[in-house]
Amino acid sequence: MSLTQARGEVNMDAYLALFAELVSYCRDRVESVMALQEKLSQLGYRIGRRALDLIVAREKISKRDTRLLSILNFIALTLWTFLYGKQADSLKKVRDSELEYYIEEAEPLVNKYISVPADYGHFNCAAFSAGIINGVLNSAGFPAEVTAKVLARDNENESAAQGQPLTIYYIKFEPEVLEREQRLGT
Amino acid sequence: MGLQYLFVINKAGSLIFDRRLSENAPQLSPNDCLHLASTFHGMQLLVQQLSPEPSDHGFGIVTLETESYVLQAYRPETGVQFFVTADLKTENLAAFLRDVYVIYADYVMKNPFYELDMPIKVDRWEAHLKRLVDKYNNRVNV
Repeated sequence: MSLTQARGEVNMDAYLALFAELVSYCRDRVESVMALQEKLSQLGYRIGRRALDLIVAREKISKRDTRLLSILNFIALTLWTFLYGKQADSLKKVRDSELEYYIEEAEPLVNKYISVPADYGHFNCAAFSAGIINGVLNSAGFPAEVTAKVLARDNENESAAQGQPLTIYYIKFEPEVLEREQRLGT
Repeated sequence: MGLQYLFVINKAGSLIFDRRLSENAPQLSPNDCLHLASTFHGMQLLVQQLSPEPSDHGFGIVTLETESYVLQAYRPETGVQFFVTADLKTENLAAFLRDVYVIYADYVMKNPFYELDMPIKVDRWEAHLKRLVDKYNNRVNV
């Protein structure tokens, strides 16, 4: 498909069936749960590295994001819309740290049909999405570490989503990003 | 009127899921469930041998009525088989099984941690099954 053509919708169920196969393919080839998470994240990373160029070309973005906040907005809005057809639920900053941010998502698309067995602990298939974010950030010149975590929801929260854990994409930039940010000033 | 038990058996005829759907259903031990499932599978094979031509309703045993309960079976082309027992005069069992098959396809088959043909222990499938049963019971009782 050429870049100039409008992008067609991908059937979600077909995508998720493929994703399920991807996860079980990886699972059969690793020793531990940690390694599985790492593997998924690496696969996402490779996609993310390419995705940035694709988005820039397709969305006809003429300006490169050089500031921390604008790249984060780019992730939460443009990248999310590109990948999932909607904006990220929320983008927040970790208190007392200039380098750490996180994106919350109630139900990541990739986890829609996935139930993680109890013996996998805090394993989250959204590690794949975290890898994509990582790839995009790195190729945009913002070296960072991105991990997907599961957060058990406390009981007072809305009853509809109760029991469904919250996924957190935790983004930690390298110190050099902050140094550059300070050099660039306001 | 209401649902009693749901069973899912795999291609080879072994039980991969059973669930008591109502408080009023007779209490069965896990052993009874295994026994019932394999008996039903054997019966199903026999009937299919005797009448190899599919009818308008399906293939093999589709419904079975006794004096105290009805049994409805649904066998998609893939070989997995669902059957449900219910009180007499319970309606729309075929539609219920079709819905069960839909959530099975979504939450069991698209879950990378489920091993094919093994017993189903999948949280989201159970949650959605429960929701489906509740919805069905509400519709029947209104």
